[in-house]
Amino acid sequence: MCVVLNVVYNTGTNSYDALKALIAGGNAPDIVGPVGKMGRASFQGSWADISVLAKDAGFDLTKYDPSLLEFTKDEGVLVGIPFALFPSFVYYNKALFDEAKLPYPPQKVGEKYQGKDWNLDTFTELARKLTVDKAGNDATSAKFDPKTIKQFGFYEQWTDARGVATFFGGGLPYDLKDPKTAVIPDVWKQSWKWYYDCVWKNYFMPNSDYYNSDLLGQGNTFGTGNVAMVWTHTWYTCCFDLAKTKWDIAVVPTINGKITAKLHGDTFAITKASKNQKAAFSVLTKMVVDQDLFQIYGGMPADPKDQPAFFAALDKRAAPNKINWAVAQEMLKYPDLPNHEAWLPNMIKANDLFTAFRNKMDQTPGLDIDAEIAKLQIDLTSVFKAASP
Amino acid sequence: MSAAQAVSLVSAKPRTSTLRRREISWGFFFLLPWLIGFFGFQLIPIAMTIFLSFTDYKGTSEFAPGNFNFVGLDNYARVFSDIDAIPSMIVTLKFALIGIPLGLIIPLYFAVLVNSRRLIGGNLFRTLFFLPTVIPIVAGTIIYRGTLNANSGWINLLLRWLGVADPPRWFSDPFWAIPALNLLGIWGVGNAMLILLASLQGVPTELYEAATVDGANAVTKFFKITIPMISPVIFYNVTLGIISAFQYFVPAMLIGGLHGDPQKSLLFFPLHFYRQGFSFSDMGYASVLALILFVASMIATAVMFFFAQRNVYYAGGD
Repeated sequence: MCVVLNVVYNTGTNSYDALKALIAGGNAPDIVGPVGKMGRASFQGSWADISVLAKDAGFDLTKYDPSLLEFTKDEGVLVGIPFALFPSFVYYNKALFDEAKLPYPPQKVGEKYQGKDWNLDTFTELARKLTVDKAGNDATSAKFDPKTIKQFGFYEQWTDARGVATFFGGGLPYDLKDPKTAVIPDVWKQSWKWYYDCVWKNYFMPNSDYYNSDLLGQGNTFGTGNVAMVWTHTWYTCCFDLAKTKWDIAVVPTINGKITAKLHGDTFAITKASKNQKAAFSVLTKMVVDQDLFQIYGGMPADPKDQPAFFAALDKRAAPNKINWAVAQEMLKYPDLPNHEAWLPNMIKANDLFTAFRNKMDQTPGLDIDAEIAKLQIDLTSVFKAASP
Repeated sequence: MSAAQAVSLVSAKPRTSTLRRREISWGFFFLLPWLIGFFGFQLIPIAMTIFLSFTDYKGTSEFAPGNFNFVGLDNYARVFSDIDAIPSMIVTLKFALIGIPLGLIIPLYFAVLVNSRRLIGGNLFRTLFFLPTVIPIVAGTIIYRGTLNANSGWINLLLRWLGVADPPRWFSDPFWAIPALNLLGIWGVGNAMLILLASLQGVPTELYEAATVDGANAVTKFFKITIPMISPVIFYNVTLGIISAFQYFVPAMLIGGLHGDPQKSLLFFPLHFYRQGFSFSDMGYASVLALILFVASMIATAVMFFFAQRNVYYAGGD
C-alpha cells in the first residue's frame, strides 16, 4: 500500500482554530498530534476508537504498560497508542546557584539538602535565598525590596491552576459519587495558598507583572537566566538554549510526606471523520516508534528500550552540560494520580475557570484565597451541572 | 384612447441601444470582483450566522445535516442567563465612552496644530503623528504591552522617576486596564488627523476674515466657524469610531488573553462572542452574540444619523 502524507503544521492556539476549520469544512485530517488530554478534550467526541482499529489490523496493544494505555483513554475510549511521556522535575540554573554559593538541589529521592530533608520548608527557604533584588539583597533579608526584584528563586511555568495544585498532590475537583458537584481537594487548597503566599508574601515566584516583563522573557522565565528553578516537563527542552545555559535537573521536593511529579502524555489520534482510518492507523503505528519524532517533540519514549537513544540525542544538544536524566526517569515513578489533566464534566469550560483562577492569583494582591477557592467551587459546580449527560 | 394611439405610444418607448447594453455589461464585469467578495465573504456569512443561531451546531464536527439540530429560540433565550453577556457589553461601552471622545479630540487637536501657520516644521509633525498608524496592530500592541508593563515599562519607569511611588499596574489592575487600552488607541489617531486636516484646509478663509472684521477671537472662530464647517467629517469619524469600538478585539485579546484579564475587565463583547464560538465550540450561541453585536452597531449608527440631521452642517445643502 502506498500512502502519501500531507502534513499541515500549526502551533499554539492557532492549531485549534485551524483544526476546527478543517473539520467543519469536511476536510478533517486523518491523524492529529501530538495531542494531550487538554487538546483532545477541546474536540471531545471527534476521536476514533484505536482499540477497534488495532484489533482489525492485528496490532498487539498488550505490549504497552496497562497504566499507560489507561492514561491514553478519554472517557473510557482508547484514542491513541502510547507515544511520548513528559515527566516533570525541577530545572535549575547552576550559574545562579554558584553565584549564591549554594549547593545544587538533590538529584535522588531521599537525598538531603544541606543536611535537611528535601521538603517544602527546605525548598521554600532555598527559593527565597535565590530571589534577589536590584540592591543585591535576597528575599530572606529585611532590606529586600519586592518592587525591584532582578532574580527569582522558583516558578511553576506554563501550567494552569490544576497544575499548580498538583505540586502538593494529585486529585479530582469533584465528588466521585456525584461528578457534577465540585469539591476541591484539601491538598489543592493547601497548594494554592502556598503558591499565593510565594508570589505575594515570600516573593520568590513572579507575579504577572514580572513574568510578562522583558526581565523574564514575557513568560519563558527560565530561558532568561533570571529564574533559579522552574518546575516543568521534558518538553521544555524545546524552549531555551540547552547548550549556553548552565543547567541541570533535580527531583521535586517531598510535600506532606510524598512526591508528586505531574505527568504529561501526548499521542497521535485518528479523527472519527477520517475517511482513511485503516491507512491512518498503519501510519500511526510507524509514527509512535519514530526516533526523530521523540526529539522533535521533546517526549520521552513510552517504550523504555527507546529511552537511552532519546537521552543521548538530548545530551548532544545540551553539551557541554551533562544532564542527569536519571532524575527524569526517577520522577516517572511519582506521577500525579489522578492526573492534573484528567477528564472533568464540561472540561473546556472547567479548565477555563482553572486558568482564570491562576491568572487572578498572579495578578491580584490581597486576595482572600479561601473565599476565592469557595467561589471557584461554586462556579465549577455550575459548569459541571451544565455538562451534557 | 384608440387602439392605434396605444400602439404608437408603446413604440415610442426608448429602446436600449447596443452601446448602452455593452456599457451595462462592462459595468457589471468591473463590479464582479466586489460582487463576488460581497456575496462570498459578507452576505453568505451573514445569512449563515442567522441560520446557525437557530441550531446547536458545535464547531468540532463537520457542518453537515445530522451534525446539528434546530433549537428554535433557545440560543436567544440563553443570552438572558449568560453571566458574561451584559458585563462584556458594559466593558465595550466603557471603552467606547472614553475612546470615542479621545479618538476625536486628540486627532482634532493634532490637525489644528499641524494646520497652524505658526508651527515650524508642520510637515515633520504631520509625518510623526501619522507614523504610528503604519505599524501593524499586532506588533504595535505587543510593543505597547511592554511599554506599559508595571515593572519594566518605560512609562512606569518615567512615573517613578517623576516621584510616583506606586504607578498604575496597567494591565494587572482591572481599574486601569481599559484606560490603558484607550491610551493605545491614541497611537492610531494619524488617519483621523489626516482626514480632519484635509477638512480644516477646506474651510473657506473668507469666513475667518469676515469674523475677524467682526471682532471674533480665535476661540469663537474655532467653535462658531471651524467646528460647524468640519462637522460632516467629525460625524464621519465618530460614526466610524462607534463601529470600531463595537468591534474592538485584537488588542484586547493580545493583552488580556481569551479570559479578558485582569478579572474579565478586558472581556469585550466581541471577545466573549469569540470565546463562545472558538474556545467553547458553541457556534449556535456565538452566532446569536454576533447578531446582537450587529444590531447594536446598527442602532448606534442610526442614533448617530438621527442627531446628525440637526447638528451636522453640509455646505451647499438645503
